[in-house]
Amino acid sequence: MTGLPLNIDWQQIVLHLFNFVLLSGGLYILLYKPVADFMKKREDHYREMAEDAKDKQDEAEKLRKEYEKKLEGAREEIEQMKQEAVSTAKAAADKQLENADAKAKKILEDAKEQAEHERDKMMESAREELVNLASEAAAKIIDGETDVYESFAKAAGR
Amino acid sequence: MDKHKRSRSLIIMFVAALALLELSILTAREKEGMDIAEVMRDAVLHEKEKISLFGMMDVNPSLISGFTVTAILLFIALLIRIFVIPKFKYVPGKFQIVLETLVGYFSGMSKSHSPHRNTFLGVYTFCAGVYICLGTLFELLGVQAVTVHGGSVALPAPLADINGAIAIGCLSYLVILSGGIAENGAKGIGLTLKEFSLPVSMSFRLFGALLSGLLVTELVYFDIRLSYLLPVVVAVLFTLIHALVQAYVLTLLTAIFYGEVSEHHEKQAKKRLKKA
Repeated sequence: MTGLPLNIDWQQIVLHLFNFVLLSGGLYILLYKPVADFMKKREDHYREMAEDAKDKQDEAEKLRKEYEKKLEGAREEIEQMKQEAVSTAKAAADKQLENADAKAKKILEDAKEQAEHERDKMMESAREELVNLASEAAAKIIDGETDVYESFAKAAGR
Repeated sequence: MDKHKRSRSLIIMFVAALALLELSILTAREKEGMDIAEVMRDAVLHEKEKISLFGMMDVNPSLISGFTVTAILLFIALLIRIFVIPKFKYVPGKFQIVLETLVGYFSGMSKSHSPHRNTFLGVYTFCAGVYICLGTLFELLGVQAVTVHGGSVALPAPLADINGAIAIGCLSYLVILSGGIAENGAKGIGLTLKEFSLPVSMSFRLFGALLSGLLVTELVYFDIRLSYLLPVVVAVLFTLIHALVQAYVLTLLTAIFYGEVSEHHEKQAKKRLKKA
């Protein structure tokens, strides 16, 4: 027909080409693109999931470190507070002891003072009495009593 | 009781098959006065057995096969698009795995052979692979068509015809050329033209491979006595192997050459200059 060897026919080649292009277009739109898109979507989904999980893990790790740090701080604080409390208690006890000491000393001093006072008072009264007796004896001597010593002893014996 | 029934029906079937075999051998006659050389020649050149394309022109049976395969494939693709793809799941079912493997295989091949530019190549190799493979398997169906002379002819593979093979071979070459132009401009044209034998080798490899299967089948069917059991081996197995091998070879070659011409050549040139 066209004179080409092997019965090659340009018209039929073009028709074959047209047929294949039609098929390619159809297969691309109907099959290749939707399937490829879906595969990409799934890949993205799983990649996102993996990234998400990694982010969460990192965050958890960060939080853990933070909490550990905080815990360490709290422990130190507790230790410090404990020491403070001990020292405060010690100081309070010392102070109380000191107070008690002072009080005791004061009581003792008071008692001593009072005793001294009592003694002084007694001495005073005794002296006064002696003076009185002496004066009485003297008066009696003056009044003519003979046995001075005896009367004095009597007065003292009362 | 069941056993008896089964064996009786088997015997009946065997006797019927024997009777048909005998009948076909007895009634066998020369194929409309054609001798074997003529049959072979017509299988290659399609000078006599032509089919009318909607009354517009007389074409080779392969073109009708091509249109039929395209129609079937597009119909199946449409059904898949409507009924299967919307139900795709992240954990795929069996059919989804088949589809994903098919698409993944061709896009993966394009990516590995042409890392710079591969989206269009993936689509082309996918379509060419599917067309060559399923088009060749279409031959197995033995769909009959009426020739212009009123005889009947079994539709062959679309690419067992020289025109179809030239079309696909040249189109592959044009696709390779387009990759070269898109990536390297005028230099890409030069790189592709360097492989000037490619369209011829691609076309005739496809044509020769698919035609050989057809010729062997014709040869076997020429004598009625060879038409029993033997076609299972020579026709079916040949066709299956051709379908897979030719689809693989053409897509792989296209991907390799496409990758070669769409490679960046500026860096290499600079390196050479530095070395000098």
